[in-house]
Amino acid sequence: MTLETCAYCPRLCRHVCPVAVGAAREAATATSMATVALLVSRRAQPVELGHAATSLCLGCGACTSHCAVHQPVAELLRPYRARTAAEPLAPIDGDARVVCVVTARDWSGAFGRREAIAVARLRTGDALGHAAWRNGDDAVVPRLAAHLKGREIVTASGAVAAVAAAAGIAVRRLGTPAAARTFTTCHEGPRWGVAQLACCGRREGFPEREPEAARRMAEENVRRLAGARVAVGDEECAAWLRAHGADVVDPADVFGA
Amino acid sequence: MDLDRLRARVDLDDSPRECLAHARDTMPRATLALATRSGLPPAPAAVAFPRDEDEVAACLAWAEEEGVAVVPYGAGSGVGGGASGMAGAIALDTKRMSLVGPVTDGAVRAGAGVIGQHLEDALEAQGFATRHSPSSIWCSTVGAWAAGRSAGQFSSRYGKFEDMVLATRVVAPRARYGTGAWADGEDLQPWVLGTEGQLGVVTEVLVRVNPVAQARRLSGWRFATVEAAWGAMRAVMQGDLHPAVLRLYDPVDTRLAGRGTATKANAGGRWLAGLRTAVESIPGMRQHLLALPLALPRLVNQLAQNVASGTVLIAGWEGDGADVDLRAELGERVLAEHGEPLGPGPGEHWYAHRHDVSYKMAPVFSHGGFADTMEVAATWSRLGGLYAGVREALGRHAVVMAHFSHAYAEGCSIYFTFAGTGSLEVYDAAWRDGLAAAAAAGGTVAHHHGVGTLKMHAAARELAGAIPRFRELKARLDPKGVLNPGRLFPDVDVAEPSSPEPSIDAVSRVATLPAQAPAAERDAWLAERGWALRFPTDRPLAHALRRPRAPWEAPVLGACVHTPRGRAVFVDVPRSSAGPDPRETFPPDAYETLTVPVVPLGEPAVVLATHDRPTRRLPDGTVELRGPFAEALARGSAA
Repeated sequence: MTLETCAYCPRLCRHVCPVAVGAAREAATATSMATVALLVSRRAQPVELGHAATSLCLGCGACTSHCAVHQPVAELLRPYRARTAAEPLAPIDGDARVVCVVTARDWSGAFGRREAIAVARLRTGDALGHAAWRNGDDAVVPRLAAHLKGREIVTASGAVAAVAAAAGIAVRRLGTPAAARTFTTCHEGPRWGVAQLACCGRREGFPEREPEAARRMAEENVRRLAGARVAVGDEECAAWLRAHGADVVDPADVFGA
Repeated sequence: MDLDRLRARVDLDDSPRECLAHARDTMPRATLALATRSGLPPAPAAVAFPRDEDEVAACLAWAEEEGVAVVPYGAGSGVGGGASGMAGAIALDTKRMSLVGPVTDGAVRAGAGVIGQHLEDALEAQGFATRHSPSSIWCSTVGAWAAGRSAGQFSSRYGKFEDMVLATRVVAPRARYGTGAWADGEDLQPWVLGTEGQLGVVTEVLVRVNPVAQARRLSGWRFATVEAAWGAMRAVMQGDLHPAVLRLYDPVDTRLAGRGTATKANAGGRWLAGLRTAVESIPGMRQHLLALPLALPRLVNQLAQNVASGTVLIAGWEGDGADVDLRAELGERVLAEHGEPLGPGPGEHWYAHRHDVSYKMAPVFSHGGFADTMEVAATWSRLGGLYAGVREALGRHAVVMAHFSHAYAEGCSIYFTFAGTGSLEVYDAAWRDGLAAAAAAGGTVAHHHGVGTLKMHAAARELAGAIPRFRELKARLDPKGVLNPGRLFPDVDVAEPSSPEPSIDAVSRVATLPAQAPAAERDAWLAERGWALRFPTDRPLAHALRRPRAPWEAPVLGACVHTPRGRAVFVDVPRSSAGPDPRETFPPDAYETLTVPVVPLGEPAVVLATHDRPTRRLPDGTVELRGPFAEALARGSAA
């Protein structure tokens, strides 16, 4: 599997890439990014252009899932991307067995009441360093596992769940996949609950890196929702979509948390 | 170039990453140049992302004032270089115009920038489909389909995209206009479709849709020779059985792709397989497996031809259940007269993997070679010469295989796939010789990939008679020539042809007839020879054009006309994408001869009052069934 395979491909995964579709960016297609990376590797383009081009990749893996030859696009582009550092992990608040990972909204009290158990709390502003993990910072996962000391976690965030699952940590998810027109987060690949909805990159720090593209992606998602009410499990995703006009329902209303 | 003034009106990106992304489309020559480190096409100076017609107009007005070229760009799926970058130009990216409307009256409005698969997804949610399914459906836009006269894998049933387009909205530097159902005055649709943005940027398309098929029946068939298979395909198409798929792989393609099993010459096949296994076992040799044969194309073509045996055809029908069963049963009866049934397996395998072929190209480039495709077409009587001529021409430079799809009652397209060593000189020579061979054999040089820079000279020679009118329109709509300059159509020297003699091509079921002849005289001439017009008219042919057409109809295949530059002849072919289709657009008195479909006298014909099946619908709403299966279709039973 090489960069060439993507650079020479006729952009066969462009229709599943959330950035290429949402932001309508030709530069976000795997073929375009791989072309720049290839030219950088040949010293035909500057490294800075490689950083700029490949920063459009969210690392969501939708391209790889679609690709008939399973090209690991994000992995191939990773060496050309600027690394995103993980925030230091805050201390766990309390000593309960179950830890609620709090990213933007504190669900620990509601979950504790619903389950009638004591719930500790871990505050993290970066979804356990999800972006860093996606970008190949392999230190994130063992650091997380050590920090949690074998505890089970509960989360409303798909990004947190993805990192925790990679660390072999037991995860309970808030929300129910059976709820129609409901999604948790979109950046887990092509498994979103609403047809054709794609990740806005909120959890990847995409709005900070690429504000214009992220805004367009959010607007595109809202357009695709076509006025439907959606319950969003990830607080930051919910806030981001709501800010762009989506009718977002509080999951507590759906799940009774 | 005052980009800030444009930026105030339209979203503009002049970052190196976005400009570089618009430097090339999918033309394999550009991929080969990248692979061989021979450079990319120039990147544009900036990329504009208009959201609607007003913003496109603003962009074009700015370009005229600044004297800047504009290259319309959809998703860069073109394989002819028509959307490749141009130094100092602006790329006009249409993908922000991506709205899809609800289905109304059997049609949908779609923004030009909608990716094909997204359109089908949106339609499927409403219970409809265009069923336009090119292998580029994941990476091409609706606007590009219209601008380049695209064809999909189910074209035999649903037509090429030009048959599905009911209307377009177009923005040119000096005009905004509608075509087809949206035309206000002169309808320029035959000129907009196929001119690849030269006469304006297509911003929106009204597309005919179909209910999602309730049933599909696919099957595979083996034939001893391509000629035997052509006979079967022709009988199916001329019998108005309207398959969705009729796709024949030549012996080399059949052999190399492992479609079915060889019935003879297996010794050679086993020898090749054994050699491959042996070589693969040598460390480091696997990568040379591909490069070595590509360096010896004549030998490999000869060897492949010798060991190949038999040819496989995929046939498929889809639609509502009863109709599918009836037509498939009749069609399969025809196919069984000429070939051996292989069951549903090959057809279902093809259907499941029908878009995978595009993945096979990149590894060829990675291994130091090139791969490309060339789609040509001709009437049935010329198909053999076209196949042999182009195969021989390409085979001097590359390993060649072919399949035959997009079949019509009057002819068929041939899709050559060829691969050679990674040299631009070899690549260019293959194309030069291949295109010359296609023209010499009386075929069109482009069936559905369009023109671009790759075929612009060959297309100009083929459509020389259309160029005066094209330039007249261009001067009116884009007088400063800002739209994609230097591409469609360059100046070429074409000798004035002689006027064709009246003739009947019984194999293709077409006749070349005097266009001004009185109907009685013309019909008598045909009747004396045992033929009649397929689409009868009581007027001279030149005065009976522009009739409503169904997707599988080709009311005019060729024409000899008088133009300001003298006499011009348009090659006989059911469909082409070598630019616009002007065959029915000339004033009646300009026509000298017309080539039109004919049928044998006395062939059964049945007229039904109403019929929702894919058969010729007459202007009064009735449907005429004719051909050898007309009675069975009318009965609704193949018994």
